[in-house]
Amino acid sequence: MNNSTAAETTFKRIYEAHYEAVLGYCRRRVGPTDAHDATAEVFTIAWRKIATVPEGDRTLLWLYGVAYKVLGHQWRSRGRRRRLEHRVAALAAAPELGPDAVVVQRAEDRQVQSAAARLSGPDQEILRLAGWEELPHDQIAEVLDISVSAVDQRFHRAKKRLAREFDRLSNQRPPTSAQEGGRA
Amino acid sequence: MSHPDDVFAAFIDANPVPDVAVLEGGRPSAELFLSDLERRGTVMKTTEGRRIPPDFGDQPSRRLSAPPGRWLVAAAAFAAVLAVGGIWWAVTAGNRGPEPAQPPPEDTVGPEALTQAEAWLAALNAGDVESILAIAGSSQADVDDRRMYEYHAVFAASGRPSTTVHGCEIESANDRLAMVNCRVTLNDPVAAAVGLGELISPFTYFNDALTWQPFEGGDIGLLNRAYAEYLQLFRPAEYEAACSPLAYEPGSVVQNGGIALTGECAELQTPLSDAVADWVEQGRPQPAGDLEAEAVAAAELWMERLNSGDVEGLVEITGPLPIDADRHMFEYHAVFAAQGRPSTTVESCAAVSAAGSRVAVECDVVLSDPVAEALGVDRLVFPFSYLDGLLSWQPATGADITLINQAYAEYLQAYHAADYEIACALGANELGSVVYSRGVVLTGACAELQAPLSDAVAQWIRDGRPQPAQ
Repeated sequence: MNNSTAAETTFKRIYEAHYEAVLGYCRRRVGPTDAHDATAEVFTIAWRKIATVPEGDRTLLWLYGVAYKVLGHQWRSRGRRRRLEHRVAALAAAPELGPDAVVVQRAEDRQVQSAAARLSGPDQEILRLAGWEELPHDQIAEVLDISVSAVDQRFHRAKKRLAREFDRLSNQRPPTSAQEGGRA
Repeated sequence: MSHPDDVFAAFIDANPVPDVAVLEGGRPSAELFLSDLERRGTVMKTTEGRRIPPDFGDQPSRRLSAPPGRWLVAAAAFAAVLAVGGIWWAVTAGNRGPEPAQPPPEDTVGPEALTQAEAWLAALNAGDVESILAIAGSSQADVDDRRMYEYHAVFAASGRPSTTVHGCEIESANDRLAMVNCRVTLNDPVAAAVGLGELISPFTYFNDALTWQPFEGGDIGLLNRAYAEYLQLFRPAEYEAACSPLAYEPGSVVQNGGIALTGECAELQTPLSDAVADWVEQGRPQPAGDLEAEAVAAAELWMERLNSGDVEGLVEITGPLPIDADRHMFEYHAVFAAQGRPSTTVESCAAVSAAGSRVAVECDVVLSDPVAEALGVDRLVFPFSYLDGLLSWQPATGADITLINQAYAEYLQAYHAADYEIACALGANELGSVVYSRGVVLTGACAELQAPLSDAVAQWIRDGRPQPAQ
């Protein structure tokens, strides 16, 4: 097997095994269209760096780390790039992209997500990795390239800050008629 | 469960994609993904980077197979893959091929793109928003773009234009599309503090419209995150009002690293640039008030670990360096935790005093052991001292906790004498190597004996501590 074929085999294995997980990671952080863009970018980077992608359990963590950076970069650029993409795609009469799916959320979900959005980026990411990707602290440390004890401390603080922001939002909610003292 | 745990549980429930399996329909095959990248590479090389492939993005419907209901998702996903892959390839192709970049021919839009990119950066650094908009035309004239230009205009007006431009060059060009890269350094002192050196400011020129792309060669997010972190710590109200992306209508601002790139935010940032840079270089020290919060958080973490039986976690944050006796005692509590009966329920922790960098914290707790309740000593205060990131715990106050140990010792001596001698008596344990209190050693072995007997001991106390029949 030559190097090129071996690299392709490795890439295909990684792609098949982890595409959904990476798409899920991205989808939890951005809208559907951006998530697909970001996932494509993650695997493009993986292909470009296929020789350095770690093996085994660490592969997905590495991909998450790349996705974290891609989304950080993409967040700012997405509006501009989307416009450019639409223009390029229009040249070839590509299928029209539909609007982003509307996610119907429960009020509590919205509130806790709003509270999370008020946290710093690193705080948000640690909570998502722990809560949504269900990673233990040592794996979060690997994704974010920080020490495990730093993850412990930051996670604990992030949880407290999340609760604080949640409470703050709760206090800002307009009172219901019952809370207004039962006025008719 | 504490309130932060409850909120975090709600956060977990708010996972917008709890099951990734439902996303499966949007995946092009690995072969297709690779062949697309490879095909694009071939096309770009054979045409010296001058042509956009005429069949750009037209293949998925023939090669993908998916249930009818998933067509739209699959097609949209693949179009996105092609678009991103194509743009990425177009942007980076000049750096990837083994052959040197070809000079742009006369019939490309490269020279025009170069001129416009240079003019665009000059306008940005002059804070000339209208000129920027005139150059960019409709490609970057949305409200969020305008606000971003205003952001840079505020920095320019303060005498510190956003960038110093070291030169621009055409990376690739054809008759409609050109990529231009400009080498820049950011003039913000925070950029240097976070380690950002020379960056590439890329531009795309397409169908007579110039589009500014995000900086490459460094993570600009480091810069903005430093500002966001500083402002959240030291100027939280002003941050919330001017720089938090949540202060603006969704989609009305460009945001990065927790900063909304608007003129209002830049007005807050510009006078603070030097202070933020100093703060970064000093290791981002927390404000004094935050030290107390940090101490409380550490105490809460310590209690959480005690109750979850996380011995190594306790050893890690306990200072001075724990001795064997501490470890044995942590193991004692871990046995109770493993049997579903964590040692305490924490009601609250609070900082009670601070002197210099030392903070005293007290946690009000309720002991979970029924023996404590039977003795009326179940409500305690756990005092801690926090210094330099390490937590020292002090003996509990508020009730005589040793009565619990004494009761266990009496019961075990009366009803389980042989087991007591092996597991809980000081016996073979060297004095000093274990915590010994009122007849029992606080070790994992003793807890293994005690934990299943807790209810029996509590009942024995309520019955007046009867002695066994001879």
